[in-house]
Amino acid sequence: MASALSLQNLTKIYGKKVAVNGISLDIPAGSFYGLVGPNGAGKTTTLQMCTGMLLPTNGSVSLFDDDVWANLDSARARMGVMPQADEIFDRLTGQQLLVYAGLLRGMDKTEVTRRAQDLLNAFDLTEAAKKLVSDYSTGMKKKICLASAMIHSPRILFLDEPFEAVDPVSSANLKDILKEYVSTGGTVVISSHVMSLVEKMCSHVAVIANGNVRAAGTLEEVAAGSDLENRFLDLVGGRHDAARLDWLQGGDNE
Amino acid sequence: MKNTLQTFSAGRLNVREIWSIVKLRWALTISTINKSAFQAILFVLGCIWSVALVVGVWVGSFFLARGIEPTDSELSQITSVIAGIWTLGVVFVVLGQLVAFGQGGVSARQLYRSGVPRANIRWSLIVSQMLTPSGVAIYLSLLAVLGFLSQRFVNGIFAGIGIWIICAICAALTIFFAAALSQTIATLAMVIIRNKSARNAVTVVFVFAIIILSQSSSFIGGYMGSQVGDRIDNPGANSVQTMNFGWFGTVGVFLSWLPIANMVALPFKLVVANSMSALFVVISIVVFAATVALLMWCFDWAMHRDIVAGPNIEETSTAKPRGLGIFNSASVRSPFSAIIARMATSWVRDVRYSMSLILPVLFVAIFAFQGFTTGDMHVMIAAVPLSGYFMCLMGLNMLAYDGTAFIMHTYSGVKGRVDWFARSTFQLFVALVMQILVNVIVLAVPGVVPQMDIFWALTVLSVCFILGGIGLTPVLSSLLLYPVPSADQPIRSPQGRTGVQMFVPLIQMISIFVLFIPGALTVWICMATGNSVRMVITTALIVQLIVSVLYFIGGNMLGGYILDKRRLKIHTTLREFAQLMR
Repeated sequence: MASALSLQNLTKIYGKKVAVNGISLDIPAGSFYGLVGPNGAGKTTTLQMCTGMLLPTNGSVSLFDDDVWANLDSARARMGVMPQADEIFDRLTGQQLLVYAGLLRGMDKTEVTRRAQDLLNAFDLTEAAKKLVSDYSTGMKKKICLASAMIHSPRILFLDEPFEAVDPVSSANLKDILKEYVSTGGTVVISSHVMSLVEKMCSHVAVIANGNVRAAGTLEEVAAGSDLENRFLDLVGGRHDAARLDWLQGGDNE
Repeated sequence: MKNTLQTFSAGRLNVREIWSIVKLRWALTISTINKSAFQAILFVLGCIWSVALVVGVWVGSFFLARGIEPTDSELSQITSVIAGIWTLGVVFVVLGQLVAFGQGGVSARQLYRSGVPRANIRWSLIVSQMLTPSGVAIYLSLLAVLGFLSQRFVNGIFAGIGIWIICAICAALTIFFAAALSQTIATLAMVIIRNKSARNAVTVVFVFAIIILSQSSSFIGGYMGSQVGDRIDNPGANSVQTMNFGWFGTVGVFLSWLPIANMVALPFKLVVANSMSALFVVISIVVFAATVALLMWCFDWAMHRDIVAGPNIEETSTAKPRGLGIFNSASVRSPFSAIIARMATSWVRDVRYSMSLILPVLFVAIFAFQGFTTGDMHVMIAAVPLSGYFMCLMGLNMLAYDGTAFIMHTYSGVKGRVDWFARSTFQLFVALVMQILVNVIVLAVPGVVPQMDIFWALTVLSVCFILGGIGLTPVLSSLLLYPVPSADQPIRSPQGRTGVQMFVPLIQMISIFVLFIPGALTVWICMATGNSVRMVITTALIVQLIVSVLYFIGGNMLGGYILDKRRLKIHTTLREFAQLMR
């Protein structure tokens, strides 16, 4: 498969702290790619550099063979980045937000309105379409954020912890939509530390720890015949016997 | 562990906890200073101002006291005037906090979530406000005023250090009351703004309060200046001639009985040993204690309501369903028009924006009030250019008002130039509508416009303010951002905002004056070539109007360029601001 996204020696250094240490990855087109790692591993930093939101200290990012940082406008037109809940205008209704997201990208008004309605239906937000986004629950906000990233039918989707705080029903619906998108040739890059999700959803995975890639490839290649979670723990390390906190007790000693 | 949990649930007063929260407030201030050199400079300037205030008041009070004759009438006048000025000062600070600067410091919600009992939150917020550099400076200044002036009249048991100890206690209680009042009103405001009807009613009260305050302060300012100046210049002057404060003195007598100022008046009553003074002291203490108890109860109630009420109820499920609204308009079909539509929607739904529309109307009301009281309605025409000036300020710091949601524009690849032109076009539209409204009011009131020529000249001047100011906004707002309250908590001010909020409009004001150089040069040239005044003004206004249109276009182009260049840095800044409000 051709690469949708290619990272070459991508590095980000803050002062003396190396957040991302020369990562090189090839993300195949049409893949569901998971970036997994513990908290502070550098997943979000990597995604931000890939989406043109954080200038790398070194290295390059190519989207369909175009340098992202040299051609930011065309890169942004081809990618969909799921905003965080506080990165949307929540004084708009859900429907207005989607139309706004489409119009900002210069899309035709009639087409944007049609797609907005389709997305609202697909994400079970039809009833909430005319409510202010500020009144949405956390799960509904996640859905409207994802919908706003999809309205222009991007070729690649970047999602940072997309299922965090989403209820199981909404989560299942989101997963179906993303699987459908991948089946039509779309590429999804997600960051997560939920192994069960990655194992179930992703075709490819890269394990990142301390800003380095510890393993990358298809799910089977990275798991190497083992359970992905155990393999992840082996690669990342840091597990130890349960600490005994003598002050932490549930009330039996009272 | 068990004991700690019990303390939290019982909600007992815990001095150590209160002190820890006060230190937390200081730590937050230091953290803000460490993060930004700009904030550090403003903090140092604030400290210099505080020191200058203390030194100035101590020296001024010392010399003023020397010039006072220790007579009963002087004592009475001084008591009422100090009570009146102090009350006005407190009202001014409270209104300023509500209308412009917000309630700063640590968040009651965060502390509550951390398990701090409400009583401790309440006390720590009040003590925190008292122990800021400006709070300490005002305390020391008040101490000087009370100490030096009451010392002039004292005899008997309170002579010497005794009166200073009483003044120190009274000044501390006065500052405490002011801090408690300001915190309570700000917290009550957070509850009130949740309800549209209550919000509208309170807005009307605010407008009237500001009108009266603006008139009182200008009158008293001028009057006090002459009185105090005379007193310092002529220490031996006749008291009846120089210390007649008329109606203000009478109002001051009334105010000195109220808890807001009775502790200020108390040292002056204590120096006189008679039954009336004793009665005043007893009543003052009782009224003060009762009002403090009531304030504490109100503060506690409002804080609890604000913490547990959740999101703004008025904007939530009770609101009727909305369609696409302005986005339905056929003219909304591009990034440019979409941003305008979003701005229009935000202005309707976000109280932070709608507050800025009050200013032009407020100035019309202030000048109308002044005109009616002085019998000279011509003063009201000043509202015409002032409206334009204030409307050109409204877009300042606009990206900070968007907050982290602005990042959505970057994800969508919106160009800075398009972004700023859309914002400025909307701003221009609102400003011109407000200008027309103000002009219609000014024309409708009889006796305001002496000549139509003057009216039109001021209107063109105002349009120049609007065009030039709005053209300047994209450049300044792409370079200088400062934190603003969130839409959910419009009264709560993020740490480090107050100083910057005064500083940035000052830069805007100076820059606008610079933008008027072409008009000023035209005046100079026309006058040098011997033209008539009418010709000079007409030519200068035409030149300035043309130049202002160019400023508008050029400012947006430059602002867009700067926005594109600084976009990622702006994202970081906006994320930092969002952190401050959490």
